[in-house]
Amino acid sequence: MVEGKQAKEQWGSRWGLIFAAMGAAIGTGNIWRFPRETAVNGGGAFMIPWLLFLFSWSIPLLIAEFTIGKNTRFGTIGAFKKFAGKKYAWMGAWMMLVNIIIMFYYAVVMGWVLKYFTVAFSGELKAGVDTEAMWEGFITSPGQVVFFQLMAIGISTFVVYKGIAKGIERTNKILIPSMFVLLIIAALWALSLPGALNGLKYMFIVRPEHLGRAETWVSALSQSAFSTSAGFGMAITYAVYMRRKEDTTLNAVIAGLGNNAASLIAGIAVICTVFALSSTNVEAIGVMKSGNEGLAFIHLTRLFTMMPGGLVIAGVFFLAMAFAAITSMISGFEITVRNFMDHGWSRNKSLTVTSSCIFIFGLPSALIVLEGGIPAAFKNQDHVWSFGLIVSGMFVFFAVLKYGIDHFRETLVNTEWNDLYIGKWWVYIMYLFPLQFGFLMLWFFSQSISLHPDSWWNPLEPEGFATIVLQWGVALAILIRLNDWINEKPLAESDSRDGEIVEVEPE
Amino acid sequence: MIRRGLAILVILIALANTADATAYESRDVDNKQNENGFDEYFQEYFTYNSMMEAFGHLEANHPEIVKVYDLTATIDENRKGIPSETWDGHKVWAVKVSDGVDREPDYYSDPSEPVILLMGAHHGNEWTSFEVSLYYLFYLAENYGKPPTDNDNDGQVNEDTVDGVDNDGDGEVDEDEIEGRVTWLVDNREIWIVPMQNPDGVVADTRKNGRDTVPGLYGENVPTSGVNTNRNYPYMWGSPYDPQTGQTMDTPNPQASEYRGPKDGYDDDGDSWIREEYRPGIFRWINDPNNVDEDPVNGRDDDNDGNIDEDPDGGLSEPETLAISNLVELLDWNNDDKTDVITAISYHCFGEMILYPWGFDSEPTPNDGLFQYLGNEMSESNGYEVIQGVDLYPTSGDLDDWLYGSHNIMVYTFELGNDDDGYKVEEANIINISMMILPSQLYLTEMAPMIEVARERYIDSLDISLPMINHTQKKRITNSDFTYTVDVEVSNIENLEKGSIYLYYKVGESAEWKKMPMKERDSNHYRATIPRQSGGNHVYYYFEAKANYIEAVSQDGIIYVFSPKYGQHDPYSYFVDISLGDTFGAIAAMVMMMAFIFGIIYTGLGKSLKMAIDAEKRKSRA
Repeated sequence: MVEGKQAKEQWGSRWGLIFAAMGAAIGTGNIWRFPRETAVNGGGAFMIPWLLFLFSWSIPLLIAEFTIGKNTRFGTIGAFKKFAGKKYAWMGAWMMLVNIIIMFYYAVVMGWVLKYFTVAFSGELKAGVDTEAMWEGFITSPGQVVFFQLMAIGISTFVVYKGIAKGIERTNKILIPSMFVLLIIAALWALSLPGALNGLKYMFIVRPEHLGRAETWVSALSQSAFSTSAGFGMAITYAVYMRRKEDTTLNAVIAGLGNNAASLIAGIAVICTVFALSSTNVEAIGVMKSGNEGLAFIHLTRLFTMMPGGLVIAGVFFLAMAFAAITSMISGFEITVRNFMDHGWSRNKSLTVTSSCIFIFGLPSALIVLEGGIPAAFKNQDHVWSFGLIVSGMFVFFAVLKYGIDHFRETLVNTEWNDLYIGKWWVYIMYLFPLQFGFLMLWFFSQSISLHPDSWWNPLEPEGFATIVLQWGVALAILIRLNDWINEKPLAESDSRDGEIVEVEPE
Repeated sequence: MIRRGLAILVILIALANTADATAYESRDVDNKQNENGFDEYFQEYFTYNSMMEAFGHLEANHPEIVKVYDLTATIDENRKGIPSETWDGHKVWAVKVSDGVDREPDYYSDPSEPVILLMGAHHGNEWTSFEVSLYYLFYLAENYGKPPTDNDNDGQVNEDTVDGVDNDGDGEVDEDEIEGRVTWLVDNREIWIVPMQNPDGVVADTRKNGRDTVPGLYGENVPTSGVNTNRNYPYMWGSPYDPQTGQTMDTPNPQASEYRGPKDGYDDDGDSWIREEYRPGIFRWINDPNNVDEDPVNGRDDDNDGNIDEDPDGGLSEPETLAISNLVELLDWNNDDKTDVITAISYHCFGEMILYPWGFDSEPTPNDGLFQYLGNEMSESNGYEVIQGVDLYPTSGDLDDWLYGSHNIMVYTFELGNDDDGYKVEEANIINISMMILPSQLYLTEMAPMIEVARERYIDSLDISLPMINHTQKKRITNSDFTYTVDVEVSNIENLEKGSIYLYYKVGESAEWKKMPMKERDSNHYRATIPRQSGGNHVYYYFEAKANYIEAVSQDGIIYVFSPKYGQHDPYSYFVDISLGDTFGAIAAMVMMMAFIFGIIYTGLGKSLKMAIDAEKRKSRA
């Protein structure tokens, strides 16, 4: 034992880990993004690639991340330093950077959800309310948006401050099952509405022409990737707190399947509500095609007001969404905090810095709102950095590749503690990673050009191509340059042989 | 005592006067809220010249609906030597108000638009009659094509249409007309107005026309004080003066006020010349005076030659009456010798009466019931007494008997004004009486097609069992996979022109209407099928049918349109939604997919969780 060690942090039980992983995975993306993507990409035709990519991208990646994290017992930067080599610390830094940048705007989004949860219970929601005006009014009043952003950050900070067992684990163990129950209630209510059958038809009937569109496949892959938080660094980070005997394969499968299971329930709740309460299918389809915030805060809110009892369901729905958002936020916080702690800071100090940064750098996303209530900064950041996740995933692949994929599988994955034996197939799937990555990136880049034929080269075009190149370029350049500096920072020693984590004060 | 008596007397006199007050005098003359824009022209009487100016003004301002005609120009001077202008050098002017007059040939008669003829001043001293005619002319021309307007500036638009009733209960009657109604009437009727049939009489302020001499029995010139143009029509012309009753029907006396004009003396049917063999093998033509004027106009074939009334013995000797006769004969679109004029009104003064044929006999016309019905309907807005012409006094050779007897036109004579008004109402009351008469003019104009049918079938009202199209719209929103079946049920199908029901539909508000015939399914059910449309479209539809030669009328839930009629039903419409799969196969596919997806995820999850639970048990035991 070394002097001055901090209390060891560990998941109290397997379920703590599982719920935490699911919580991290299940976020607003499951609830408003999945139904929209399904609806827009041919229903059943979307679900086929979506399921496929769960098994060909998300779960394999989660397995790899869990394994790396458990093995190195460091957050993303440390993991890359130790696993891939010091030259590649910047890759871990990229993962952390992408994660924290996403947190900047995710806190704002969680603020929106919290606001609407309060709206649902305030009685402000009545039939005939102009929900579009309500949304616009909210988003253009900086005081309100920032207030709820602060609330979101405050809640997350508090949970993360409490640490792994008392904070993150306990919170997830309460919120995740509750969230499932709430989503099931919402889904059952939606199914009880006359006309819900149309929603089910739209969601599940395979519209085969969509299978031929590249966009369907790309959307399925990106949805699967974002939704499960594979490549986020969450799995690496949470694996740091695994018990020695903890499994890293079956848990990955459970986390992935659990994430998709939540998506399905949320999808039914959302899509069936929309189809049941819209007067025509054409209208319903239009609603589904609207943007994510629009769907949740304008259309669904309006639709809820149309049914008696809808107001209760609105509360249920937004509460579920709030739970999902909280559990995702805390994972984001922990990823960054872990990296600071790995380099010697205390949890408190790391948390303070992290929270402050998230608040300050989240202000543009909170405040920059264009005419008509369009949060431009948020849209830009979401557009640029959510795909940064995919790059992170590639870095993980790279790390595994450097180790030797099959070697990795045989020695690190298939340990005596893993409940699921991973066969050779996993190696082949990993080799598919570059392909999937390339496919996705190519499509992403070409879309940001083709959708903005006149302005893609303009860095000020929020959803164009130039802004991606600019921001990624700058980030990568800085991180790579800083690689040596990062490496100068010593890692707090960890002793993984007896499975206990010991943290050391910097000398 | 005396004072009280005087007071009572004053009150009685006042009461007596109010009892005499006509309906229109109850209108607020000074505070009229219903100023029509053209009222300024009716502050004093028109003259022949100012009327011509007004015609020019109207024709210039409304060239697409107003056309001025010189009826006397249609007279062939060579035929009987009747001049193509009046004896004093005036013209008998007519104005046609209808759509398309600027594009049509002269005296064109649109087969789909019934013709209404209104005339004033057969008797030149009855000035009220031409004012009322001119007021209707201005009313139609100036209101045509106007958007809905708040004419009386009370904040409401079109709340008191011209029907003689105070629809909005504000104490004013008919002050805010529905402009669309006027537009529709002008678009769907042909209204001919002849304000001064006897311009010589108007100018000279005499009852009869301006003729000075007439040919006597031996061709000599006999002086006359003019011909009574309303006794100069051929039907029953020349009926004897009845000394017993002292009633004048028409008279051969050139000085009498009812002078009917000279005998005809022309062999109209050209049968008076016969070829005679006066010596063997040698033929000559001689004139048989018995074959001149041998078949007067009385509805009978007097000379047994197979033709009826082809050689009248009198009537139409004056340019004024010949002008009218030519007009009536010219308005015949298919040249079947049946005029297209359906209804007519001739204005006279005074008496507050509405008169209908016959004038020459107390026998009722075959359409007596209809005449009374229509007369009563028109009387509602003015309170005039509706009687057969003969019951006022017998006449013969007058316009009404001839228009009805020879041409089957449903014609009325209005005696305008009461004793106080006389032949010329006070100038301050011109507008009032014109407004009071307006509803009856509009009524006869609008109802013309139904009047025609009722007349043909000798129905005594306008309840003429028009075919009605009944349709119940399906409530289901159709989807893109299905065609939309439109079913209608037709009542009174015997009045429907076979094969004349059409369905009009258009896809999208700004599309063109498409037309398709509706097919007969059984005795009175017709069907049409609107083809499949893609999702997201609004489809509009309506029906159109002909009751022999008039359009089916809109009732509740039924559609009717050539051009949208005022107050008309909107077309039906339905929205084509997108189908998500209504077949059994689609539902099955959905269920299978749900089972598949849920199966993989949830059984996978369940199995994994079970594995984890078992593993934990194992590990904790270990």
